[in-house]
Amino acid sequence: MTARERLRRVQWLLGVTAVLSAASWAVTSATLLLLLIACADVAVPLSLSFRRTGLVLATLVALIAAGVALVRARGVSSEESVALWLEDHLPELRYSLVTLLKPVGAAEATLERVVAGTRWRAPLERALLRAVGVPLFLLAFALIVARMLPAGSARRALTPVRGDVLARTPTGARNASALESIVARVTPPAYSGLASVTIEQPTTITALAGSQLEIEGRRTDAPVDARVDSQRVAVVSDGARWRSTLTMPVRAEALRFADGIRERWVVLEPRADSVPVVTLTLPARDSVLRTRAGRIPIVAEVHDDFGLAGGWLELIISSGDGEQFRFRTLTLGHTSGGGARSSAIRRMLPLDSLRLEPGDVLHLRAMARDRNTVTGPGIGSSDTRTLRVLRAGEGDSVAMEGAPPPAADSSLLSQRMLVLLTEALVKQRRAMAHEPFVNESRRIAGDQARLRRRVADVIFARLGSPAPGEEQGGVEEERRGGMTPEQLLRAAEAATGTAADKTLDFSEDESPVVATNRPLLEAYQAMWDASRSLEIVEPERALPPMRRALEAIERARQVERLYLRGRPPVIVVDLARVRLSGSREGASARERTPRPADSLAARRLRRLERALTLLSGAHAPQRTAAIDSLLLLRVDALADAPALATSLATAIDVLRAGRDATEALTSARRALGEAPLVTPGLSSWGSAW
Amino acid sequence: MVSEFVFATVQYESGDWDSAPLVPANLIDSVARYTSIPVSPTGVIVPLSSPDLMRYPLVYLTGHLPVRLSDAERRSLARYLDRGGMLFVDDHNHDVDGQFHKTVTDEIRRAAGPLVELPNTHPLYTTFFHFDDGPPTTSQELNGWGDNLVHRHLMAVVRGGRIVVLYSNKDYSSEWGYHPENKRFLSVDNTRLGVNIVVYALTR
Amino acid sequence: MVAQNGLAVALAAWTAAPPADTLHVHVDHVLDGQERDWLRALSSAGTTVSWSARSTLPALALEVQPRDDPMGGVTARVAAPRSARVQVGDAASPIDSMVLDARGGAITVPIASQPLSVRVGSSQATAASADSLLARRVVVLGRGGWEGKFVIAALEERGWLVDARLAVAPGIDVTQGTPEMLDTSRVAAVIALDSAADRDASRIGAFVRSGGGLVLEPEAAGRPAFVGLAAGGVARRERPASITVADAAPRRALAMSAIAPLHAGAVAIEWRDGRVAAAARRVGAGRVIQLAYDESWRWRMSGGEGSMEAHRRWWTQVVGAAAYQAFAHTATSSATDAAPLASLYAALGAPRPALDAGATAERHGLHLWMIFALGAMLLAEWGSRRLRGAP
Repeated sequence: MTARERLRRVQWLLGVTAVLSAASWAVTSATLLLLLIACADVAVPLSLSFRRTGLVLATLVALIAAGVALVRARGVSSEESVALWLEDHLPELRYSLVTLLKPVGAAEATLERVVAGTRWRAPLERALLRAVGVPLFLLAFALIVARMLPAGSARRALTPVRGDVLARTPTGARNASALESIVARVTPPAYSGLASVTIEQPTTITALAGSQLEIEGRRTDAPVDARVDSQRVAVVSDGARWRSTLTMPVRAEALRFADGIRERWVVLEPRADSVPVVTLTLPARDSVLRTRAGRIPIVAEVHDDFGLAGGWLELIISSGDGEQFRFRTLTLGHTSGGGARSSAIRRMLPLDSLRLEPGDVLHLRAMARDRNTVTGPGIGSSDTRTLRVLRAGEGDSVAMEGAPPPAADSSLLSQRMLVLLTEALVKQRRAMAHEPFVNESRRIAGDQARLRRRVADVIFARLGSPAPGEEQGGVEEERRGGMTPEQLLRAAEAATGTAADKTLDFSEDESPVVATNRPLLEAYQAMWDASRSLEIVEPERALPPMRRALEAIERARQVERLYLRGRPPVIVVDLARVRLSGSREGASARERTPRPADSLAARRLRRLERALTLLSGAHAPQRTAAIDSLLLLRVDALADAPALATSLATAIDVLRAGRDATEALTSARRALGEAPLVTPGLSSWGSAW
Repeated sequence: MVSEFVFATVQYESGDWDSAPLVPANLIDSVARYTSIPVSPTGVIVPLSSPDLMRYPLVYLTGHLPVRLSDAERRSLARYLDRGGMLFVDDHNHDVDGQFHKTVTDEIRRAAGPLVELPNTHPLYTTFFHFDDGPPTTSQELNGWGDNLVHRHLMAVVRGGRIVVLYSNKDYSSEWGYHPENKRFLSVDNTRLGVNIVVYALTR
Repeated sequence: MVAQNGLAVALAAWTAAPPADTLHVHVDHVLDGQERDWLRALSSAGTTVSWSARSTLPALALEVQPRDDPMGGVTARVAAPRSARVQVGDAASPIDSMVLDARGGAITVPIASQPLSVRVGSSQATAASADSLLARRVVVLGRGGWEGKFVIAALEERGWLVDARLAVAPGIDVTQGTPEMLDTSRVAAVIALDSAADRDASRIGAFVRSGGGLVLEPEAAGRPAFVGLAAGGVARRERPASITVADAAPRRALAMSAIAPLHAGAVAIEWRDGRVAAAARRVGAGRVIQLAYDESWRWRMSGGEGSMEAHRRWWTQVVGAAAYQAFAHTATSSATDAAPLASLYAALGAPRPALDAGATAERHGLHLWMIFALGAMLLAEWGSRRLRGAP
């Protein structure tokens, strides 16, 4: 190997050494800086941002150190420099190596021999040792010191993350409370798509209702008790930590931790998931349809804060008039929200398919559902548009005054209720003693008889005569009980002098009067049968005729009633004439119940006053108690007094930071009710005036 | 006359709010007939979303068709009830399966809170005339119309011991829907509960 | 002598070793209670004490009384120099400030952690209420109607105990409590709304003369039965001055029957457009407030967001201005100083110049500027030595 070849090899070795040296100094300097930060953190807890800045600084220091090392070793790039370095460390070379780098002619062999006679190993080893050994020694020292630091300190410096406050071992930890440091991890519901959040030393946790909350602290000998509104929350110990898991409630609550040394309050402030906002843009307004054919465009815009599950259109079609209306409910135009925050429902509504009749009213609205699977789903709806189908000849009407209905007997039970009562009685037959069963059956029989008389009143009122004999009961009633409906009607018409032959032709062409009364007569007859069965305490046998009576009454309802009503005249009551003309029999003076005071406002007022009194105390525990009082007052105010809650939140933060809270407290005083009232001058009457 | 009672009927955007046009005059007549309360001889119609609603601390709402309030109507109603107004709603269908009942109770729940059964011993039934058995039964309940049920109770939203919304399934809108002149044909005036409602609203 | 803080320390030193028999204090602020008491003690112990001020000291006085309101709170009356900016605070924090256009003013504070303090410049007065008010009832008499309903509602929601009788028909009233028992031992004030209160006029008159309060609305005030109690006549009813209920002047939206003419001894306490809208009068031992409004309920119903609360507060203010007040004495805070300058005069007499220089004790503090000058000189010397290379 020639001298030049040996020189190049040394140059390569020195280059490697320089790189190793640069790397070692980079690692060591960064480690030393982080060690310094870790030591400072042991003494005084350093903030997350400070530690993150330290990490950046350590990287910078490492780069600078490496750079400096490389700059200092820049000579290795030149053979002359390396040769000179060797000449400097190996005097026995007597500049033969440097000379060989230039053409020397015949002396080259001599010089080669001189160079070949020297050993270069020793200076190279020393150089390597100096370049790498020193930084590695310092690194080893740093690592030893780091190992001696309290657990977690190095990790806090090396990988600072939110929530690592628990990794720091507090100084004087022997009597430390398990509540000195707490960390909350908030995991929002999956449907929201929000990421988990970690909060250090939380005083308020604001999250979607239904979020999972995991609150951790350092475990000590004293057990931790956690409660929400006096309800205990489970606390589990896991190695060096205690952990409490709960779900964000729907309304604001205060979570109280206590471990016998101190207590700590955390406000749980739920954020509600808004229901979808639905806006029906088409049809834009209510209108009247002249035809029942064609298509109507429907467009609705839908928005939600976290994503839509779907939307649809709801239609209610009202048919009828006067006292009889039928309703059909339809849903159509189902669209999938697909989790989007905004969507639209578009649909052409074919009127032909709805089988609309003149006078029908179409109530249309759009609806949407969000993806809330925890407290929802939230369903939002648009305003309703009303589309009415024009009647033929609408506007032609006759005004007439309605007649007063006959006085009603409030003791009467409807046929449906009697059926329900009888069915219940049949079901209870086995469980009931005989005597109450008999009494109940006969009581229902009595009610059935009274209702039958009421039906008879209606029938005979329509026929223009009071029901003969019903009031007397007894023999007359018994006699009628055996009649068929036709016989009964004949009897009725005989009583009114109407020709029975003409009106009793119960054929397809029967008169409207008969058509109207036939179902009621059938009901009347069925009620007779039911009454008899109930009287002899056979409610099971009574049920079929009772149901027949109910069905007949239902049929009677279907008979079309005609109401003629135009715009009623404005009635001006002649007050002077009617004033106090009525009989006040049964009326008397009455005691009024007082309204409760607005105790909530008064209670909050006094609570704030007490907190302020505590705040004015000189001692730290009083201030802590005052802050806790303000915190609990805030929980109380979150639901219905947002301005007060906001002012209190500011006041609490400012007080905790030890700053002047005057502005926030003044704001809270005013948000609570009323501002101080300043009256200029001193009134001779009173402070108010 | 100052501070006289004016009977107000609520006009809402959906449905047939004007289905019982004779009820106001009939109740005005009754209030004058039985009490010394100053009362206006005619009623008024007030849109639910109008600021004028606040001029009438008792309002009457009825209809057969679905009641879907607009946002403005809903806000106005909530504000009205918060201030101390009282809303009297009557189901003109007398039908718990009817769309009026379903929709209006939903709107009441949204604006004021859930309806609860009003006990028949409530002061409403004794504040002037006495109704020992609670709300008087109407002929509409007995003649097979509507849901064919006799409703034993009225419903109400009660705040601080005071009725803010009174809800009836009994179809008083039909029962009281006649010209007051025809009251002479009745042996017992069937609008007496209406007097109690007015007196209750004016004194509680 | 001492115009800075620390007079108490200097007085302690003086007391321990009095350098002279005569002490003159030259102040630039009103002495606080401790300093004043100390000087008075020295004076009583034989030292001749005099004082003077560098400038005119602000005269300041504060009186605190419980507010006649079930919600509590206090009313503070302040006397201070004209145009002075007065800062009002309590034990917890500053509350508000006001500029007095006269020599006094009042501030009503709903939440106060007593004692209250007022400060003008460096002078401060503190005071706490020595009494608390005993609760009495309010009786409302009138016809069944919106005004009666909402007046009762406003008072009850505010926490007043209300007895009422609302006539709805001849012989038929809706009552609450025992409104017929009018006695200052249980009733603070009566509110007569309209002619339905006529039948109680004589009992109300006796109640007022014995110290009770009476609030009259126009219809009642215009009745012959109440003429002897009313603060004035009742003019023709006017339309509201404003269509909308503005938060700044809500009662402009109410119809009004102005109070005119005022009876002898009555004082107008509220005006609207030059006409009297509320007037007060003393009758016997009692007080009467006559209002020109009879539909205040419209304010509550039609006003802005805070109108319900404002309506309650206003009615409380009206009732409080008339109501019979029964006090119960409570413990007085010793840490109060309601009128510091007046107390200084009372303790040490009027200010006068120092008698002679030898008798004046002066505390010469090491002022900051002297420290700064010394430091600068040292720094200059050090720099000079460095520049000269001197050791």
